[in-house]
Amino acid sequence: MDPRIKNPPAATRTVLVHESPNQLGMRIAAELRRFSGSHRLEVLTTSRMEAALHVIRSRSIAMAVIDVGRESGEAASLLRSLGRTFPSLPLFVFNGFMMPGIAEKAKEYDHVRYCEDSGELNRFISLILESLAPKKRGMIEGILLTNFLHWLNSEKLSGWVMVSSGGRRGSLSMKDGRLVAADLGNASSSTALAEMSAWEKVTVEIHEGASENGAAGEATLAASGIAASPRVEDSPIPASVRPGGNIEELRLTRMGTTVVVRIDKLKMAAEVIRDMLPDSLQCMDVFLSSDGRSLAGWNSHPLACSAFAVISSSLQQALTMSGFPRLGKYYLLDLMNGQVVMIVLCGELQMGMLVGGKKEHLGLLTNVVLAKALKFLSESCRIEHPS
Amino acid sequence: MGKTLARIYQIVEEKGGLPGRMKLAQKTGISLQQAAAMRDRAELVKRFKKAAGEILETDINHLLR
Repeated sequence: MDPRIKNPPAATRTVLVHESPNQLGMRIAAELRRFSGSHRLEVLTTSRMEAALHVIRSRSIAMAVIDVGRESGEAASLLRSLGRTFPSLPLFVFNGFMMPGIAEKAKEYDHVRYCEDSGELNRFISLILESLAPKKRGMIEGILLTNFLHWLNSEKLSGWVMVSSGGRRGSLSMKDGRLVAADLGNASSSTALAEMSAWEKVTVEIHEGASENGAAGEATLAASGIAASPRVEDSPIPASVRPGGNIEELRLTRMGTTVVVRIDKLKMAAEVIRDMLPDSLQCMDVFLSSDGRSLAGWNSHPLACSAFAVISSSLQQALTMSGFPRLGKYYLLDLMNGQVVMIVLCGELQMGMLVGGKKEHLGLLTNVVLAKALKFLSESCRIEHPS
Repeated sequence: MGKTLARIYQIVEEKGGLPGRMKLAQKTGISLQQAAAMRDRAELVKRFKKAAGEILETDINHLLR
C-alpha cells in the first residue's frame, strides 16, 4: 500500500469518483463532498483508470462512482474492468449523454446502479446517498422545519435527516433529539440551519444510524492522480442553537434594524397558555407579522398562521383607509359551534389561539390569557438598532 | 404506564407512518416518549383517540380491543 495514502477514521466511508475534469467539471464529487460531514464520507476523485484501480486494490472503498463521458475512453474501460473483476463493489454509473453503448454495458452487471440524462444528476446523488445511508425510517412532505425539529427533539430521535425544498438540499445530524450539525454545502452550521429554516414546505427523509459529525481524514493522494478530499471542519454548534437542539434565537434584519426573537421564551409561553386553558385550547401559534411563519405553538397550524398574518394586515389597512384608529392589542372572531379565535398583536409577533367549548372562557381569555400573552410576546422580541 | 396511549401511537405509526406519528404529537402536544411515561387518564385517551381518528380518518376503537 502506498505509504502516502492515509486511511480515514474507521467510521468514515470512502467513495471513489472517476470523472473527467473536461466534462461538466467534477460535479458528482463536488455534490457528494457537500455531504461529507453529515454522512461521514471521504470522497476521492480521479480521472485516471490506473489510479482508480490502485486505490480500489489498496484501500477499503464503500463504492465507486463513474461519470462516463464517451463510449470509448478510460471511464468506459474502468466500467468494464470493475464490472468484471469487482462484482462485490457497489458501482454507480452516470451516463449524462445517454450513450446506448454505455447503457447496455452498465446493465450487464448486477451490482451496477445506473442513471442517465444530465438532468437527473440530483436523483443520482440521492441514490448514492441513500445507498450509503443506514435504513430509511420514513419521509414527511410539506412541513415546516422548525415544527419538525421541535418534534424530533421531543421524540429524542437519532440519525440524520435529509432536508429538501424546491431543488435545494441540506442535511441535519441528530443525536437523542439534539441537533448535532446542519450541513448545506459551504455554509457553516448556524448559517445552514437559518437558511433551511426559511425554506417553505420542506420534505424530510429520516435515516437511522450514526449521526456524529466526525472530521474525515485527509488523504494525500496527489501523486497517484487522486485529488485529496477537502478537510471537513468540525461543525461548531452555533451560539443561537442550544445543546438541546432547539433554535434559541431568530434574527431578522429589516431596513437596517435587526429584530431578535427569543424562540425559547415563545415555547415557554405556549406551554403556560396551554396550561391556562387545558380543556378549551384547540391550537395556538406564535407567528411573524411580516410573513406568517410559525415560530412556536401547540397543535400548530402553519396555514392558519399565514392566513391570519394576511388578515391582520388587511384589517389594519382597512381601518387606516376608513380613518378609524389603528388596531389595538387584539381582535376576536366568533366562530360557529361556540369557538373563538383570538389574535394578539405585538409588533413583529402575533399569537393566534383557537378556543372551543363554552363562552365562559371568554372572560379568562380577555382578562388573564391576553395579559400573559402580551407580556410573553413583548419579552420575546427586541429590536437592535445599528450603532 | 401509558399502555393505551403508546398503543394508539403504534397504530398511528403502522397506518400513517412517521408523518402520522408526527401529526399525533402535534395534535396532542404529547410525544411518544412522554405518552409512554404517562398514566392512561380517560380524558387523555379520549383526546388521543380523537386525534388518531382525524389523522387516519377512521375510528380506531376496534383496533384497540
